[in-house]
Amino acid sequence: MAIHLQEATREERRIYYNEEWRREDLPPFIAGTIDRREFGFDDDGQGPRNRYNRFQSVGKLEEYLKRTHPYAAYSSISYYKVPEKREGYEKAELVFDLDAKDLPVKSCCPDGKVCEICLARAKDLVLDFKDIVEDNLALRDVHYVYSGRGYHIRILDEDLMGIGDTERAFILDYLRGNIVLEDQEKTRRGRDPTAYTGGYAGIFPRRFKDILRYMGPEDLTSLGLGPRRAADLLAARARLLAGERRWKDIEGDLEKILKKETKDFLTKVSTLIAGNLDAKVTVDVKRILRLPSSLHSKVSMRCVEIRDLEAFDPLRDAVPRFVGERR
Amino acid sequence: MLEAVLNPLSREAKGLVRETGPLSEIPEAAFELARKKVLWRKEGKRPPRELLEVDPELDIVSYHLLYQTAGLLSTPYSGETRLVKEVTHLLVKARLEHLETRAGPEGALSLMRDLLDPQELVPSGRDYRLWGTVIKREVVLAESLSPIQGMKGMAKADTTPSAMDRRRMMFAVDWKAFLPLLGTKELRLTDWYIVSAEDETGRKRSCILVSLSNLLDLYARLVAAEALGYMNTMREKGKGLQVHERLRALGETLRTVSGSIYRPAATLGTPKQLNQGHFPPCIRYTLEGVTTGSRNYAISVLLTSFLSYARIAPQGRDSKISDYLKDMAVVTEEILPLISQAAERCQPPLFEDQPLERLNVHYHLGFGLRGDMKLEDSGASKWYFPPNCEKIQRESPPLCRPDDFCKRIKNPLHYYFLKEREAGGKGSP
Repeated sequence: MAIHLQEATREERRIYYNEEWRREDLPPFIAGTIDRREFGFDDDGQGPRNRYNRFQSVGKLEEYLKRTHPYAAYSSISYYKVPEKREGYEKAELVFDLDAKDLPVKSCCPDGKVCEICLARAKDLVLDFKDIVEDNLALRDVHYVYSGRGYHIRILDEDLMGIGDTERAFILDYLRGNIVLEDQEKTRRGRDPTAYTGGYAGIFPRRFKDILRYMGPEDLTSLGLGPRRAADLLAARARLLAGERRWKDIEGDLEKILKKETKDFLTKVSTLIAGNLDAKVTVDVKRILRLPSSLHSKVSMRCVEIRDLEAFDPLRDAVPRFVGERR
Repeated sequence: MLEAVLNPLSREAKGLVRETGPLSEIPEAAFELARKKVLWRKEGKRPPRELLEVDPELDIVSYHLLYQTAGLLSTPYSGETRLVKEVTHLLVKARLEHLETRAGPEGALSLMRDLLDPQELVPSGRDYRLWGTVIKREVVLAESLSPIQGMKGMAKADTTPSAMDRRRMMFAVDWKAFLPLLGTKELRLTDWYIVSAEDETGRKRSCILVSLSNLLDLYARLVAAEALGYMNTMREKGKGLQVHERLRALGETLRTVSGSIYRPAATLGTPKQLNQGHFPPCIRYTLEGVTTGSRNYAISVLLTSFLSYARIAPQGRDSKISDYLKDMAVVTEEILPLISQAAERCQPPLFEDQPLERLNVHYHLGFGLRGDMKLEDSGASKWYFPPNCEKIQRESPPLCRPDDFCKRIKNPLHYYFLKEREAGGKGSP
């Protein structure tokens, strides 16, 4: 069921920044580097056109927010020597952006909208990304932010902040799992990749099963499958999704149905899987991101840093007080 | 000193180069060695034995002569720069293999520690241990995955026991040590098996499982990647400086050798009216209009760069539109109308929704963020080259709908020029 996410009025924005916003809500990873970041604002809902702002202290930012109560507030993921001119680039956070409204293969609510189902699906994905980022890749200083309609994973691991867009793109490929391994035969001759916690070989099968869960007949036919094969695949889906089935068994089932087109089908699905994360955000080191603690006025939700990802519920933890006071 | 020979960019080697006198005083033998280091490449991929054991000082100086020459006289993506990077990789690798044959794996491993810190897996019953953690049979899976880009299948034919040992995944290296190879696109994380475990201090570490054979190659690639960065630094620092005639002569050798071993760069087209029948699928799809999420990238980045480069067909990447056009007619009457039509067909129409995006189109054409484009403004910003297919797939996956012809190309522009060439210009309006 789509949630009724109403746009905040100018008065509600004023109330939010003057009565609810607290400087403690600004995450320390931003507060501590505030004078090295560029800030951008959307003053009227037309986009973040008010750029090239610098604040020397959290107090100055607070004063600005309370006075102007912007429609949206953003800060750069990069550090600059002269942020007000976007000059003297030093380094940038590594960022992954998951937007629940843009999840691929979505039938729960209209495109561009969010509902409890896609918000929950987004959170499940973020939890899986967390395992990869923190356990498998052992990255440090990782922060999770609810952006208002999705999640930002912001990584301040010093070893990675200096890398360029190409390195970021390859890490993104690993995380989102949209690369079909070139030689599945070899993988099968070895061991079932999903039987182990580490390594990329287990990530693609997980993503594949995840997206297959949400596919309907139209989704499959749009990938080039005829109605009969689509029906066969959907009939086999329960078997494919069952936890006890191993990847090589799943591939065997796919090959029975799709025959020589299996690899082609997996490649097309991988394109859908890629839509789980917005690559442009990851590779662009000059990006500005919604400021944690600020208001996402289009949907009247708070952008917040998440302390406990497992327990986080956006519909409980990111709704500003003024929403409950609406008539 | 031997370490410096393996890595000509080690601190010790750089120190030695700093103490070398001016170019005019460098012995001819160093230039001769520099020439030999690239000339053999015309014959094959295995360096001759005479280059494996040479005088260390001459060796280091000759490497730096090559780096200076390619850095000061060639562009970053030129065949000359590529050649110098490649011979660095192949020479360092061959020397490591030579050393390993003579002194055993320990000899080679000890010299790699300036860039890598490989941990050897310790056999424990049927399994292996790493920092107290059992790796189990993951090693078998790691061995089944693809090796490094461009090296797939190499050395697999050799089934002697020593060759098999070299291919066994017996080492773990922090994956972050390979970040420079992600930057040069020589390594994809998805091709390797990454394990994580806590070390004796309780700190979590994440490592790629590699074989000795992988290690020798990866170390050599890391040195070559560093050389590439070094050449780029030289290029920046040397802008506008007069280049010594001895380096110019060496540059001529680089040009001849690279010209003989690498195919000419991307297919070039000729400037003529656009033939939409030969457009690649991503461009045809974009012209039909795309939906929110892909619009800005499809119109302002992909379509704008593709149409302008396809129509104007410049002979290089670092040019501006005014180098090729006498007036703005081609831009305003042939390129911009197609962009506007495609933007109009977007859902919702792009320029109605985001009027400022028109400026972004001008920006990507090289006219800066100006409302009115004049030919004299060309060069105010960079004229963007069409993104490669790999980049399109990554940044805007829905745009990529490959047909069979796409298997032959890596960039939408090459699709167009190749189709045009194969059609012999037939079908052009």
